[in-house]
Amino acid sequence: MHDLEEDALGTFYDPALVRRLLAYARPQALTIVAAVGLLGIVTALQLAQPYLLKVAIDRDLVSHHGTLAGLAALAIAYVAVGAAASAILYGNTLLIQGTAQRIIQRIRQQIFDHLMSLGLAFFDRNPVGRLVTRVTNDTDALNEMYTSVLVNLFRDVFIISGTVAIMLRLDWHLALVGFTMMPLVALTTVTAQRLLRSIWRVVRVRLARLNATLAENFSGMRVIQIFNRQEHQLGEFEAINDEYFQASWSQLRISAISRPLLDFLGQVALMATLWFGGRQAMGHAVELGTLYAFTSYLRQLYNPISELAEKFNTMQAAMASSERIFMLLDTQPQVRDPDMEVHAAAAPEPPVDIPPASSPGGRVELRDVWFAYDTPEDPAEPRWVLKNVSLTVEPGQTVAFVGHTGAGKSSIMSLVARFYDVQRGQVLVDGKDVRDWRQADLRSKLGLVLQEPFLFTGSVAENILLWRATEATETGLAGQSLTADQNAARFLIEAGGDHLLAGLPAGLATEVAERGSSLSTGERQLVAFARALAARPTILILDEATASVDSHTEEILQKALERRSGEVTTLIVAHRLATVQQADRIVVLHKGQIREVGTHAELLALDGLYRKLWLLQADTEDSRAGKSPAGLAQGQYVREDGAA
Amino acid sequence: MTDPIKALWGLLRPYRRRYLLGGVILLGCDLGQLVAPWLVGVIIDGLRSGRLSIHRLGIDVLTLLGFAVMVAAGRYGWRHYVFGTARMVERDLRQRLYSHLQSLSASFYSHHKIGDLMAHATNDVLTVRGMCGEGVLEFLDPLFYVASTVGVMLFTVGWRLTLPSLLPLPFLTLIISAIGRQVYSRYKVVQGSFSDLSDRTQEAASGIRVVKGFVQEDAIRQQFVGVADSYRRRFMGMERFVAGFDPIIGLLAGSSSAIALLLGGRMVQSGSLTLGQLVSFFGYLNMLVWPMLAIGSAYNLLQRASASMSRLQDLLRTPPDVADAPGAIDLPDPVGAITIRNLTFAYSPDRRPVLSGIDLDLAAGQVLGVVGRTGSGKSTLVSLLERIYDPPPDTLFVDGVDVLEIKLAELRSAIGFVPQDSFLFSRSVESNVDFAQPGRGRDAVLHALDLAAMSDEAASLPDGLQTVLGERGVTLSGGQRQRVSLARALVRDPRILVLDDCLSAVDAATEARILASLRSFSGFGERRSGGERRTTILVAHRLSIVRDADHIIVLDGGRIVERGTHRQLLAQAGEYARMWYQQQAEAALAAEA
Ligand SMILES: Nc1ncnc2c1ncn2[C@@H]1O[C@H](COP(=O)(O)OP(=O)(O)OP(=O)(O)O)[C@@H](O)[C@H]1O
Ligand SMILES: Nc1ncnc2c1ncn2[C@@H]1O[C@H](COP(=O)(O)OP(=O)(O)OP(=O)(O)O)[C@@H](O)[C@H]1O
Ligand SMILES: [Mg+2]
Ligand SMILES: [Mg+2]
Repeated sequence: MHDLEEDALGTFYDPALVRRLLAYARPQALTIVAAVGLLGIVTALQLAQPYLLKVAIDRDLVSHHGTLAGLAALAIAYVAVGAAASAILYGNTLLIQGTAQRIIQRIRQQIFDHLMSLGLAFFDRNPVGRLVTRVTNDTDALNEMYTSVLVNLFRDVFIISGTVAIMLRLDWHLALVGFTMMPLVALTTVTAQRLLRSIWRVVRVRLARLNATLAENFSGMRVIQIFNRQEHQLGEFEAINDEYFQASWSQLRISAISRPLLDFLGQVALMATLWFGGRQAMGHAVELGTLYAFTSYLRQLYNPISELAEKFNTMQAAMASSERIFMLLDTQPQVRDPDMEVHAAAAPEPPVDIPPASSPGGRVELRDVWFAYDTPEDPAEPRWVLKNVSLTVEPGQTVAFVGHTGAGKSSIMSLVARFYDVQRGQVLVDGKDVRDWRQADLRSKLGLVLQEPFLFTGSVAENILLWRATEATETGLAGQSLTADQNAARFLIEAGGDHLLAGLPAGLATEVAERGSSLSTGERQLVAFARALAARPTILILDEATASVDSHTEEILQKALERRSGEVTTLIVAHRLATVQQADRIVVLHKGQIREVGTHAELLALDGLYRKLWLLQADTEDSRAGKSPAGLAQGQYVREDGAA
Repeated sequence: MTDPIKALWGLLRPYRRRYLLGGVILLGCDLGQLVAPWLVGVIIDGLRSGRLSIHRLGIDVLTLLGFAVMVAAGRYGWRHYVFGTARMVERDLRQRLYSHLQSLSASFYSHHKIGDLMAHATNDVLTVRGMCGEGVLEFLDPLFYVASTVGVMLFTVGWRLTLPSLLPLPFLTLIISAIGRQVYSRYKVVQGSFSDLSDRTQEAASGIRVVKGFVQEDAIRQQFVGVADSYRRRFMGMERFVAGFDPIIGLLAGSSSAIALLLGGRMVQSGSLTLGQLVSFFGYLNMLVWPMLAIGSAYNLLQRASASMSRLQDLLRTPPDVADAPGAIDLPDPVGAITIRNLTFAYSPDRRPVLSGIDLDLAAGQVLGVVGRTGSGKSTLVSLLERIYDPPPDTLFVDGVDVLEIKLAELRSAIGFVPQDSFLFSRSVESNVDFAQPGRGRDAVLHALDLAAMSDEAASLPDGLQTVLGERGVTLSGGQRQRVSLARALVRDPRILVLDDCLSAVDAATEARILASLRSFSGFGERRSGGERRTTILVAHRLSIVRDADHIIVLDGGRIVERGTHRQLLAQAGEYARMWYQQQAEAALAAEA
């Protein structure tokens, strides 16, 4: 599996990044301008305070008719001005922070939205921890850029250019001497920037790796402990933690060199000025006052410059994060909704495929489907998981899929739900290619029970009804929340979960732990089954829905299905063949191809793969004694390789 | 000293030498920096008096250069020692946190979400680092200024003006610490919210199949918007106080100047103070402003770090509930006899027991079949044997020793366990199989995969055994995952083998093949003479898997309702027989067809 993270470094052009980052601030542009203005006012007020002191000195202290009252008035004015400055500063800080937080919230939501729109292939190859880093830490790294850089940048630039202008006017010869270090300053800044950017990138990548490792180890902790792997895993974590440390150490080293270096260059400029200015002052070519003024102007010039360097560091950190963010945002979803205009243009579709309006729908068809999980970029011949699969399921039919593990059964289910797109051929639902359906419309027809039941943290009821229940209670009367619960209970009982329901300490309101780990595996499957029923599907997809359920409960489930048969198209994957024998049709898959199709009876008569599987499972005394027709007693493996 | 602060100090302590060194260098830099203005003054004075020779000017400028070099080096030095050490503290803390979390049992993980734990390990740890770096600097750096400036003030104008002017300081301390308390509690809430963000994303991404399959993108998005919004609100709720630091410090510094103006002015008017003295006093007061701002900011960082630290402590203080008892013993040569005496177990005291009154004797090398309804406690029973949860004392014995008295590592390496959910890591197939003890060699791995009927398929993966799997093994089919997980247990060559319903996702043919290898691996079924036998526990729903077992128990509601061999159980005509005949009826149906 190739790592999306490591390849695409440095593909962004800085101005483009900055422009994109600024674009997020555009809705708040007015606020930002106001904040800059307010900051100006604060500065002015702060400058007014020394002026008040000057007035006090001139009026009340130097002259001999100064009064205490006059002093007191000035002291009060002094405090008042200070209070005003503080109040504005406070308001302004909140304004800036509020703006930045809004921007960041917007970016966060956009990333999350985008994530939810990406196809499963993306999730297959991106560790969850990395995605979490994008949404949380990487966006967080933007905060400082929006708060301190954006607003203060103006001030620093203003101070620098003002100082330069004054110095040039005072004595341009001396000014040029003072500026001699500027090329070196520029060089240092540019070099530091470049280094910082690449090291920040490494920092971000390693932080994501750290998070991914944490996420994985936390979710597999039980396995780590069972297999006494703690020490090893700790060592691996230490290595990753240390890599992150090394990266952040290099980042520190670069900024710890560049910042003092810039200050140093300022000092050198000061010395040059003193040397040349001093020699000229000896010849009276330069006034002493000018020289003195220059020394303080130089400090005023180089201070904001080295502070600017600090901001560049923040900026580079933000850029490195935003690079990761934009890379994610620019990942095109491989499974996409049809383009609406194209869709509208193609509206008059061949009428033959469209079922009559009265029919509830639920027709599923696979036409010459070839499918591989490889991404299109992978150069080699795809590793076909499904080869030339064609199949039609009429509305209301029940079709079962059986076959060896890894034959491609779950993959077919994923294709019907359009979790992936096929490479060749077509998957049609109700006569329309799934690629022409809006994904939401397509999937709202489905009730899925996945091979690995996933439960959310939350109550059992929530897991059954998902978040549809909340909508109902929000719009309806207070009493309706009860109905929602009753509703959930009904589905759970229908799914054979009465036993489970009775055992739950707080009934349907019982909270389940992450992934449902506080329920037994079978119980999780029952909840997942109830969830699929609650979706009121026209197509029910059951991928090993009863694999971990006892046969008694399975019978109940079976009844629930029978009640719906005829109305709901049902696709069942099962290894326990007892589960599938009632199906209208059974499809036997072998290595991605359809090997046999027929009813239970037909397939048994066929004496093929299905019959062999069946006899093995029926586990009669005969088969154990080695008298079974296929001679499969004692688990002699069915090898079907060459047969097709 | 409050608890989190003590803990923070505990983090810094091992590095106090480096911090001390950093502080000394910092002090040196601060002093060195004073040289430049002074020398400039000397040069200007020399120029004014016309007594400065070019030679002298050159020497002065070179001196300046020397100091500049030293200051620059010093600045690098303290960054190295202060900021750098903060990074070391960060690394240590994270390492300690991870190492501790690794010692906690399954019950901890069922109460803590992964996203939340991740936020602790990154975000909270980063906050602590902020305090150990910037915080320490912003505290140390001003100290020198404040002390020297106040000293100079006292020395030049005396206490009569200095003390009243510093009157606002105590208020400042009070106000700042009041704000600090707010920052502390609010930052904790903010970090909690950050955890929520992390957790929502984590869960949405790992449940993406359900989210998409049930068209819940909008609902999930709505939840996320809620969390993101509440993060922002809470952040601003904290910021309302944080933003107060600077203005209030500025304001009180201003009041100091006003007091100085009033009192000092009167003193000037009455002639007890010269105007020049007052003016330089104002200068000194001004010099105090930034150090106070810095200290305020350091205090802010300290409060945040203590908030984060107290969150981290909540985790670090959780004692490992499944751990080696003092004086736990080795199990040098396990034979694998298992005894269970009146075992009753509940996941928490307030919930009804999941297992009650279990009694069982399993001699070394015997095979036990465990069947029963969904949720009847089968997985719980075997997980107690593994000590994923601790059983009550004196209920569960391996080789006659209470499992609680056996070293965890010893116990677990005696058992090859295949959990019901086959979690795989996103590493290569080979290192997944070789998980317990890397370096057993390819042959052992291949052999184990072969026993699990997975070697052919593993070889046909894109990179064979080196194929790196997706997270949790998502790039394999369900049955493939189960078989890799089975191979992972077999490769340990364990005395006791525990299979928790691990053939549920494999087809009948593969199942038969695996059972055959298990029979020879564990030595059951066809009573082979002399062959090695391993104690084996088979949990299953399909009775064909357990029918060869020496002993079968049927669980219902946590009790053993039936026990015996396959034949005995059939003769009892109870639940087991009913399940059996149900499956037989299906077979009969098949025979008719
Ligand atoms: N997300 C994925 N990425 C890459 N390969 C995959 C992915 N999912 C499945 N495969 C591969 O595709 C093949 C078919 O898998 P699929 O899950 O469809 O099998 P299955 O018939 O459902 O098997 P089982 O009975 O074990 O569940 C397997 O070889 C598997 O390794
Ligand atoms: N971590 C947990 N915390 C609280 N309750 C739990 C936990 N794990 C399981 N339970 C409860 O304990 C009971 C027994 O669960 P267990 O997993 O042992 O069942 P099981 O017999 O293995 O079922 P299955 O056949 O479905 O695997 C169930 O009612 C379940 O809800
Ligand atoms: Mg499958
Ligand atoms: Mg179980």
